Amino acid sequence: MSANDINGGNVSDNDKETTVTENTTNDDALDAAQLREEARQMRDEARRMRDEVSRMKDEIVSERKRMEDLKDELSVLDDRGGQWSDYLEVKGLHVEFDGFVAVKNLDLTVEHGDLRFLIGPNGAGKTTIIDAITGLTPATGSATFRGEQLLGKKPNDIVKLGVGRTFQTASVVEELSVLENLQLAEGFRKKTSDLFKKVKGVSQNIQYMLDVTGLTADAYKPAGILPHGKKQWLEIGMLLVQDAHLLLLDEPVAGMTPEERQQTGELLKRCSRNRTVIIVEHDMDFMRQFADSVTVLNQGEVLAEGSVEEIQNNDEVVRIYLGGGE
Amino acid sequence: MNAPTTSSGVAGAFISKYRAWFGTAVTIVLIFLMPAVLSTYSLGLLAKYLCYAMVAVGIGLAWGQGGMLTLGQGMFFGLGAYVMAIHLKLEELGPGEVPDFMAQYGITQLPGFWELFRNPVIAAISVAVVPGVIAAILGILVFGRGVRGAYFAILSQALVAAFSVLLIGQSKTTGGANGLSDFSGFFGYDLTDPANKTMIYFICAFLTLGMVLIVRWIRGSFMGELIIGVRDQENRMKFLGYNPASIKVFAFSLAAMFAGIGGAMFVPVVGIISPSDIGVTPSILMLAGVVIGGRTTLLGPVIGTLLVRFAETQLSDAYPSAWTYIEGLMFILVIAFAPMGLGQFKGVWPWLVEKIKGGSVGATAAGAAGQAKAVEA
Repeated sequence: MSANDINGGNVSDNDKETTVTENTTNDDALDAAQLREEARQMRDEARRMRDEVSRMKDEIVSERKRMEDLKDELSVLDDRGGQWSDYLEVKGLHVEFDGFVAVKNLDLTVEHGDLRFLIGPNGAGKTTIIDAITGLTPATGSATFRGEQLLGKKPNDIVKLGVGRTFQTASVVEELSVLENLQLAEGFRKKTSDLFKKVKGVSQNIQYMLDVTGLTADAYKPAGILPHGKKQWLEIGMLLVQDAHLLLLDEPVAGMTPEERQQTGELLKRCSRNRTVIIVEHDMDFMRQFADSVTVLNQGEVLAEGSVEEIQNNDEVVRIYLGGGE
Repeated sequence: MNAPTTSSGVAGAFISKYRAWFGTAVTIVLIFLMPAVLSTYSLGLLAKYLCYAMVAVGIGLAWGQGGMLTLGQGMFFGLGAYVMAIHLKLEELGPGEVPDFMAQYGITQLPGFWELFRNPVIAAISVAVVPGVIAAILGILVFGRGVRGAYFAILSQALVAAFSVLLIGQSKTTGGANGLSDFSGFFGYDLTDPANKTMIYFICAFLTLGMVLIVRWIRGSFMGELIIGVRDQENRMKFLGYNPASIKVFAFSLAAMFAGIGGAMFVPVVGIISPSDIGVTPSILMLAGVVIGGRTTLLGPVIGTLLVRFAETQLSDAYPSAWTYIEGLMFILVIAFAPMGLGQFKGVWPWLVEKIKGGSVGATAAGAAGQAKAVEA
């Protein structure tokens, strides 16, 4: 446009026209080149951006996949299936041995995420409650977990409802390795035809539980040579690989060193976040340190129930049970 | 110096990786070698030992792996044997005929259960299936009620005692204490022909090999772990969601099938089956080889049984009255010094190799150190 201005204003319309046309042509050529250049640049830009986008897409996909993996890994312990509705409700539980009443019309509710301790003097019926819930001892009344009645079912069927227990003496298959023990526990839902296949490799589930229970280094050792504490951890690990959501543990820290107690307590605390955990225990220090709630039993009946402080401040409990030691 | 070590290491790794195939190949070669080096009579004896070895393989599974002390395998051995004997008798008879002993009792009509086993295919299947099914029913009744340990052992022994009494009592249909004997053919083959005797030996040998391979497969599978788990921690297994009874029934039933097949082959090999072959004492003798060979190992029961039976034949010929004492002594020695049987010594060889290798490595190291010192000096 600047050329037009310099040529002056007194130019005929025709001239003007031509000039304009000429000019336009010039301009057009210039513009076209410029535009082409610009277009090329934009095309390059677009290509770059496309590349970038696809790269970012890939990144997002891989990131998402990594997240999935991570979530999978985490869910093994923390998120898997645990729900508020996974609670244990015992109503009117009654166990009698030849006229001796071991558990008397007992009501007990343990919620999801709770770490409940059952304490009481010898013969209070603590272990009997576990035996009744897991189908070892016949009982009347009702015990439901996730809305399923447990009483009257066979032990192996109760396990399939997500209920796992340990025994006072560590019960692991001593001749088999730690890994094989865990595989035994994991395989309980196998189809009959799969029973005759070789077990290959270590599943992610087992690998994770080995880490959680601190047994990775011992995976290939026979379970029989493990120290007592580790046998108990293995047994807890076996329940974890089974994806048990109600854990019933009978004196898990009996005979452990203080360090082992601490580690066991932390493990159980961690497990209890998304599970329902009930522990029968004599060790009061252990109870004070890790219990979320406590039920005190005496002669087959509930004497008191509440938090650790409430129990410790309960005069009757102190008199009957805690009194001697304090 | 380096090359031979490496190659032997590679060969060693190769053998240990394909040990089963290697062992099977060697065994097959041995099986085919035997008829060339043994007389027909000795081959017949070997075939008889192999029949007992089949029972032993089953006992190894049920007792060694599964912890079920089966003192009554004679019953399943007998079931298989009688099914086979009945079939072989029927083969010889013309239409409408009955065996001699029945004719002596004035029976003219064959009993119903005899007719069942006239068909050769049904008979061949039944020698395994009849003991297997009976063992399964027994197992469900016994293991389902939680009977185990010594109680199970006593029960199985009582059953075999009752079974032999039953056979003697039913002498009109089972031949009584005399049993069934004098068989001339085996599925159409003449039993007096040495070539057919060799064939029967081959059948026994390959059946034994097959059973060992089946047990090896089970031991290597998840089922093998389950069986051990149920043996050592029955309660734990129950509270892991398994039904211990069904796992036990499986192992027990399979052992019974092996015993039945062993019994069935015993008939053409020895030519007679009678209650005295399957009573309480023979049942315990079936255990002897397993104890001596090592019940928890795969091959121990077979090798032990072959050794014990061989020793029995040799020594009872030489010292007929002393054999029982010698066998008793063997038992005491094994239980006192090697409670897990001769299989216990399988760790000795690797240990020796380790020692020798360790020694030589030590020597080389010492030599090298010496050389280094010499160089420094």
